Amino acid sequence: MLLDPEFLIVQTLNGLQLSALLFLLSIGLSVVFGLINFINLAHGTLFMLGAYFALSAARAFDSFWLVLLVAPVGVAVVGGLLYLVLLRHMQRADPMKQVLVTFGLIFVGLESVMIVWGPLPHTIDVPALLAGSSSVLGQVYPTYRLFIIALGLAVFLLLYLGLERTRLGAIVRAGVDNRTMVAALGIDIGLVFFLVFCLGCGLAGLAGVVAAPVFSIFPGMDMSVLILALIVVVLGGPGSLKGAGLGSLIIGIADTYGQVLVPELARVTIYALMALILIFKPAGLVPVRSGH
Amino acid sequence: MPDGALLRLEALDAYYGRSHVLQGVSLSVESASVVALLGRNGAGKSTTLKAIMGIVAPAGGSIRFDGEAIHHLASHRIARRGIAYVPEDRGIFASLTVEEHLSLTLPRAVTRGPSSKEAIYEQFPVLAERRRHRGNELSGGEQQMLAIARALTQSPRLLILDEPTEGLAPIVIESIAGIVHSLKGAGLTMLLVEQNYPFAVGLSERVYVLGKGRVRWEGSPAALEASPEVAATWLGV
Repeated sequence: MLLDPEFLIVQTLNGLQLSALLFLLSIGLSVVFGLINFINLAHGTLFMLGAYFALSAARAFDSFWLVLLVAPVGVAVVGGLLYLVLLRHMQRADPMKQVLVTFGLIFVGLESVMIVWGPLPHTIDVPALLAGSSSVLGQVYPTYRLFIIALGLAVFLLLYLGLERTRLGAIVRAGVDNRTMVAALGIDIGLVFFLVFCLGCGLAGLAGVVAAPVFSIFPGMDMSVLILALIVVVLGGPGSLKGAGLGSLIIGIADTYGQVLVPELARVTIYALMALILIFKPAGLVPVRSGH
Repeated sequence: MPDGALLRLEALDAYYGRSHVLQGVSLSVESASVVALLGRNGAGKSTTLKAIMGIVAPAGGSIRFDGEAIHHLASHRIARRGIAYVPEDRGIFASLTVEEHLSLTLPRAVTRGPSSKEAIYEQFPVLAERRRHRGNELSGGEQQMLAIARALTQSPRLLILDEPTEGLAPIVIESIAGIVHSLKGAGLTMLLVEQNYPFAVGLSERVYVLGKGRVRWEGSPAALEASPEVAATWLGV
């Protein structure tokens, strides 16, 4: 089976598609964790919210592209409010409290979407432009899934350029390295952090929006991806864009092949892989912090 | 001490956990003067500087800069008042290039005059050569120069230096000393923590000796030279 090129092409593309979603989801989690050591378990809830916002937006607007823009912005706003009302006050709390509060938010999110959108699964259509199939190396593959891969790649490149080529990006990198020193330079690192947090939430929402036409939208759709995203963050090294990219690639591919080749072990392959990598690279694949 | 000091600490108290590291520290820095804080390890020198910068929250007492209380302000607001800080570990960002370090404060930094990037490169030719190098590729001396240069991009009215010569080779210390002396010549007000006794005494107009969280002695460098018992008790010189 492994030597069958058809199988290899399709599964690799499936893996890349999962990688792209994982990257969109984990990058916010990773940078937030890198900047202030804050573990936001409700990050997956924002992914789910993105999918539900897309559902409502798709009913309101005809254009998928408008949905693609509006829903993530909506999620970013929710994330921003969450931060201002609740999470901001948790920054100096001990990690256990952060875990408990953001874990609680998962249930709040779950109940909220059930109240607003009901307990039954929903689906939304693939946009007409991206419906149908394309040929990849002679293999037929859904065009929309290729779009997800391209989007993940595009966001990675945009973030890379933003981080490496702009002053704001330099401030973020400096903040991940040594937040205290950035503040001592007269830079309002709290404000920068807030913007980064909202952007990260928006990207989690974007992941939810693009995932919506592929998977069904249901309360709790966030749980399995949240766990994978957390693994990506730990594996890649918190706060590192390249780490999140590399981690997403590894986990996306490994999870896809693991589920197909050894379905009995399902997610065990992922945990085994994570344990193995952390034995040799305890700070993650791309460690960024030199000290606080 | 006459009024109108640029920086004035009064009865400053600070704790690290339960240990009382600053116990009523009072000192002042006059405009256009250099003040040195001396003392053994653990005397509270670095903590005093961190309290001024808002990195360690004071438990009591006051810090005034240019007559206004700043001890309740966030770190970045204190810096924006015109205080620049070079920490003991230099605070260089590993993944940022020299150029990026000097551009971090850009909107507030001037494009002309002694604080402009070009003027700074002229003053620190070593940094101009290494513009594209990242923080973790620099030597200790280059990092120290970059930390000072970065502080100058803020056009500070007060420059705070925590052990600028620590861990550096004698020849590098000489060039750092040259830079600091020229800053003094240009009239920049500085507060300096230093273990390098001759360097500190040669540079400053006024010396405070800290011991176990309190000011044990204050006076001119000449008076300190004339009081060997102070140095013996509190500095171990």
